[in-house]
Amino acid sequence: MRAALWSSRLRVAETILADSILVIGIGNTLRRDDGAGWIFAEMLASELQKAGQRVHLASQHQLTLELAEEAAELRPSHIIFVDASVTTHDAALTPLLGAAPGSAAPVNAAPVNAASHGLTPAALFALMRRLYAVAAAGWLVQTPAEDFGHGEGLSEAARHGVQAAPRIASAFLRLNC
Amino acid sequence: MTKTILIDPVTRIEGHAKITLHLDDDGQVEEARFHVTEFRGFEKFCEGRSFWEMPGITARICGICPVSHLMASSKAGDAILGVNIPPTAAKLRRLMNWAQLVQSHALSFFHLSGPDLLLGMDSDPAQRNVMGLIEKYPDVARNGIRLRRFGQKVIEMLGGRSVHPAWTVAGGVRDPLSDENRSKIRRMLPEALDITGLALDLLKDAFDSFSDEEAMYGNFPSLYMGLVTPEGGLEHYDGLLRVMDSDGNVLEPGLAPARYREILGEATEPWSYLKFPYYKPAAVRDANGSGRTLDHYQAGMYRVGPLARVNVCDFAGTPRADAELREFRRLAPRGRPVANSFHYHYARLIEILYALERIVETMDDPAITDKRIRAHAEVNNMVGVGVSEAPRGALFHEYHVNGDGILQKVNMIIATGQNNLAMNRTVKQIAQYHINGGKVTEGVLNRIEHGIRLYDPCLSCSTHAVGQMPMVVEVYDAGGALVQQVARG
Repeated sequence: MRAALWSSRLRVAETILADSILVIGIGNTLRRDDGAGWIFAEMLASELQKAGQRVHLASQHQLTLELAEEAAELRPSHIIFVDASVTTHDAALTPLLGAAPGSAAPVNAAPVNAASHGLTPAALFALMRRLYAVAAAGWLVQTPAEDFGHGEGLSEAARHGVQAAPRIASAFLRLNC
Repeated sequence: MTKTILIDPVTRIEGHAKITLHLDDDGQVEEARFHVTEFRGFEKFCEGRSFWEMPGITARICGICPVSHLMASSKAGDAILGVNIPPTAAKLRRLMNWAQLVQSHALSFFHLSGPDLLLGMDSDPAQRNVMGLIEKYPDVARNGIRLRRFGQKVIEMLGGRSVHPAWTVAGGVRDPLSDENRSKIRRMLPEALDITGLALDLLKDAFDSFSDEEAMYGNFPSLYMGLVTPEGGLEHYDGLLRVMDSDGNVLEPGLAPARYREILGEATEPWSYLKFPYYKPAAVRDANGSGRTLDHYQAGMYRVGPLARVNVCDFAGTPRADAELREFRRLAPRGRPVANSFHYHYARLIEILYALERIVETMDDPAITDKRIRAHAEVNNMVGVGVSEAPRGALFHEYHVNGDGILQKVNMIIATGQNNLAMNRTVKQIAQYHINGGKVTEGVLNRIEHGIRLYDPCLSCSTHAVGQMPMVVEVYDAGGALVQQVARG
């Protein structure tokens, strides 16, 4: 399961994922805890698949503008962004603003750097809504992190954090299925 | 009493930087400095690694232009092996490099500078960003995304992923282009060309609204440097180094890139981590004849990147790009290079057009799907230099290895660094034009930032750093007391 999910990438116009869940893991496994986003996303996708959901996993080093169009073409019902965060002590699932399916498109007025490192999940989701009328509900999972140094492997806090993936999957399913 | 104005950090660029403006007693701008405040030091920590690893390692320097580092690093590796890579491998590398040019230039034009060009320099800063652009001009934003996506998709088809693809290697490339992916690229090209045509129209329409900017945004004499083909055509992957002065005289008609040290020096200043490369023959040496250059190295200021490349070449080499190039050259007196950095925007679009036309040609080349794509050899040379044109300008990787291929010394000269002197001069020129009596408005600050964005600097590469934050501008008097503060974000 791990290998299949890990190699999974967005293949636009080849797969339509109506009534499915797009999980976007954000991070870099060569920058220690930054890789927790990918690992958590992989575990979350696996849990959701086990529960019978159709899931597509995209592991991204960074969020880019074109990802909005690609995600729109996939037409998922839910988009879950997963990212590591130093401000989170326990993994949590939060809805992104205006995430109710079919709601009017909100545009985040906060300044956004379109260059790779500055695009946040909230900004990208707002962009999906505004430019591509994405109807999917948006969610953000933040998982604990404390060490973004060079190297592989997670800190104790990050390792503990990713163990919450089954709990987050259950919470998501309770809310949406 | 002197004052200092601080812009910290500069936004909508890649990396951390700040600008300080130093005012004289009359409140006029006396000096301006573009400070790069982050340091990563790839050159040092690569020592002790194998040169085989360098394409993968150095591609991690940047998420915007990893392909550029792949190219320069792999070419340095080719030189260490002492091989001529298979022709198809060279064509495939060129293809990826053109795709990189398209995606990076599209991001710069549509989404980094687009808010200034379309919403206006004085528009509400809360809206003057990509989200504001999306709100007011969704079609333009979508087109920008489509064009950038074209480049990213080609990179992904070749390298398996669009960011940090580990595809080029010393001796060639890892995987060939499949017939299926060639067909896909062909299908995407017409739309990409159409969008580029629209972007050119958009920019030319904007010229009327930016006559001030056209006149004094980095409008000063400097040298220009870029790669050209042996015939003098526009070149991004290989070729020879050409240097031109502000009168259009060719100072270096075609220097082998591996000899770059003969003409390029690197100066440092205590207030910035970004080095100051300069053209050595033009720099004035100190009177003692010690050979050490003082701040007169500024006489060797040269510009690189799209503006420099289209200035130094004799022709582009593709029909539509050549037609645009003829129009572009009418912006300057006959025979002279276009000196105004505002026209980096125009040069960028010409290069997108050129890259797309070259990709069209390449897709019609029967050899492009050939499977012979890698030369194999061991270490045959102890030094290898690789040079390619990154979106922002010429990129140099120089590796010194031992007999086992372990790196003993690494030197990288990055495009953004080579524009450092010109960026500082541009900031000063804009600040002197707009700031009188020490009064600083938000619109003025944005113009100064836009002056930097013209060069599309990638500080992640050049120092080797990432990130962005809101902006705060503070004016201090000589005694250190805060006399004015302007904040955004």
